[in-house]
Amino acid sequence: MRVTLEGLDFGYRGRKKVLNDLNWTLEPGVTGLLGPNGAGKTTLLSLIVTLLPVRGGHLFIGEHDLSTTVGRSRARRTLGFVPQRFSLAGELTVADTVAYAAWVHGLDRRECGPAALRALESVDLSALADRRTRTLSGGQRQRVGIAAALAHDPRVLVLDEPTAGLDPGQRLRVREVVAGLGEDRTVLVSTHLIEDVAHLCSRVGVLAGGRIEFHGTFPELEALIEDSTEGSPYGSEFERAYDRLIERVGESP
Amino acid sequence: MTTLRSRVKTSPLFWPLPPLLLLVPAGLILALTLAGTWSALSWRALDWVYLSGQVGAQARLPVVVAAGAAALVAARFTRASLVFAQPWQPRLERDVPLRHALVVTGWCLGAYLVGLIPLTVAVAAHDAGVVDPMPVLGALAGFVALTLLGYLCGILARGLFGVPVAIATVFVLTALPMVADSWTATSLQLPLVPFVGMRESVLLGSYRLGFFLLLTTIAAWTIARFLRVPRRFSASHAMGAVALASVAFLPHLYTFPLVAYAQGGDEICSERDGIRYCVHEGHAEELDPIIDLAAPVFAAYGRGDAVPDQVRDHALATEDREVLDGPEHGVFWMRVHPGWDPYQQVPEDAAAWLVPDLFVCGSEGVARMDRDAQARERRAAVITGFQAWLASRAFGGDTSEDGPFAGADPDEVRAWIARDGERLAACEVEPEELPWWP
Repeated sequence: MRVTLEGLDFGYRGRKKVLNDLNWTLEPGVTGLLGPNGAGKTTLLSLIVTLLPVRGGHLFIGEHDLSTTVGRSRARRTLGFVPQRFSLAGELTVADTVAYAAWVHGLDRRECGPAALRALESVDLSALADRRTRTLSGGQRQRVGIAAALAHDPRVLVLDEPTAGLDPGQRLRVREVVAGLGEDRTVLVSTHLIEDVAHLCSRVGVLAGGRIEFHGTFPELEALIEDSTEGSPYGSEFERAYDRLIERVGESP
Repeated sequence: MTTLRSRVKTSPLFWPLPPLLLLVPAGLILALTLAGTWSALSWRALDWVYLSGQVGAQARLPVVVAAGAAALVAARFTRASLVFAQPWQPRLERDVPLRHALVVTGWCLGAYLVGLIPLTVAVAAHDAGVVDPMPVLGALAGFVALTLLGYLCGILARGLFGVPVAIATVFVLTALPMVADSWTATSLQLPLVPFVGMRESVLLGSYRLGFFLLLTTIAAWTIARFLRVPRRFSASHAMGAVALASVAFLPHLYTFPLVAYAQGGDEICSERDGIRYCVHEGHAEELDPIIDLAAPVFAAYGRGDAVPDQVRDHALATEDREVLDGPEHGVFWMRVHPGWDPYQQVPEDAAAWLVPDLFVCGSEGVARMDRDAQARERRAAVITGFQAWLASRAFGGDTSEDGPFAGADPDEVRAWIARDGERLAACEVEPEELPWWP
């Protein structure tokens, strides 16, 4: 399912605009969203998942126009979202948590159990289905969050910093899971980690100054970055070059 | 085993909540209700009007538990940080709170009604009177409204702190009628126990029902608003709160009648020693004990002109004036109520009817005969002594040895009362004047 943003404007009351005439189209597959702190990544995600109202421009999830109440209401059933920080009810098991999420997303009660098992399978957590969520590690919790967002089989999945705060091993595991999700749906991953984008995303968007200043494949982004550095495409040298790129595109009119 | 467990979890009876979160409060409510009604199961004169009132009266503690359980569910399962309680999710605004409220209220109210079954069976065995629908409807609406209020506390507090807040709030709301009758219109129960021959005032019952429906509406609307984006108070919330507060305080400006006399119900009568005894048909079983216990007291008194012409069950009264004017018309109105003990109450009430009230003595209710006692207190002691002597002597008993009627001969008492009855009624008889005074 395609996500289309046309001339999208957004500003919090009494403050300057966070998003300014933003145009972008997300196709099925995993797309990364990069941008410096304060660029408006979380605001953009909140608009896509209908947490914030569309006030200027248009945002379509498939054919659903999020600037209308009906459009928002219909789009919600096609959306899955894993926020950067979320909590779980410790007294519930992993399977119950995912089944509950499936129900909250609109599935019939009888469908929730099987849907939860399918979602847990897709994040490789079936073995922990009967564990209480309070006993899980950080990476396992993150995968439960993803399973909860997947249980109703959304066509559009939005992940906000899915690997933040995880140790390298857990990060790798979550990446493997997310990489497999883009085969039959549109996945948008917001991250500040270039490595996440390199391993996960078929396409990348860079948000700066309230606009998508770059949109293309990761090799295209790499090439752009390499224009401004002679160092390795990974590691701190790469990150610094990326920061310079962000500054550059941010300054462009 | 796993299959059974998953079946239980996805059963519509519990879904989507963990069964334990519902079974524990339901069990507690069942225990509280059974404990609250257990002693009444063996009572005399149980009737449907009494049971109708008990539906609200017995709910006082169970509804506090229900509100606490609802607050716990709200606090644990609607926090916006939860992965399955994000404000944008399609079912969060309506279906989730509706489902939560349905299962929590269903289990708690269900457990409460199950707890009332033994009392209902006991009442059905007597089958006296008819169900008074207003207090029953008011109590059920109140139970739902206050449980929903608990849920709202859990949402507003946004954490487990909402549980004690809900418990304290609902406890105070249910306890207010004990402070002042004016709170009755917005609470679960009457400050008195109604029984056959009465019914709750229709005005009061309607007002209470309306109040709880308004509370339910405002609570449900606020819950939906607070689960939706963005979570903040609005002018319409303030208007709802003002409307609710106005409805809650109106009864403090206008006093609602609590109960009214219920019309209808045949009387069953019998006559002994020239006195006609009548009870409500719902109290037919009490007629013989009343006669057997009242007639000897009247006989012990001895003065035919002083005993009542009729002894009538209060359930037969049609207005207050009829009861107040009873002595003038020779009618002794006797309150037959659920849980009464005729063996104690009938002789005492009969004796009290024959003997003047203590207030005529001006002793402010004090009756004593020790050396420091004032004259009016000593005269009052003659009245209370005579009352006790009548209630006891009628059944062959004797009064205490140090009372003013100690050692009094029944014939001697009858002769004295024939002579000094008028002075006794005016509280003019000193203990030393009694013929048997040593």
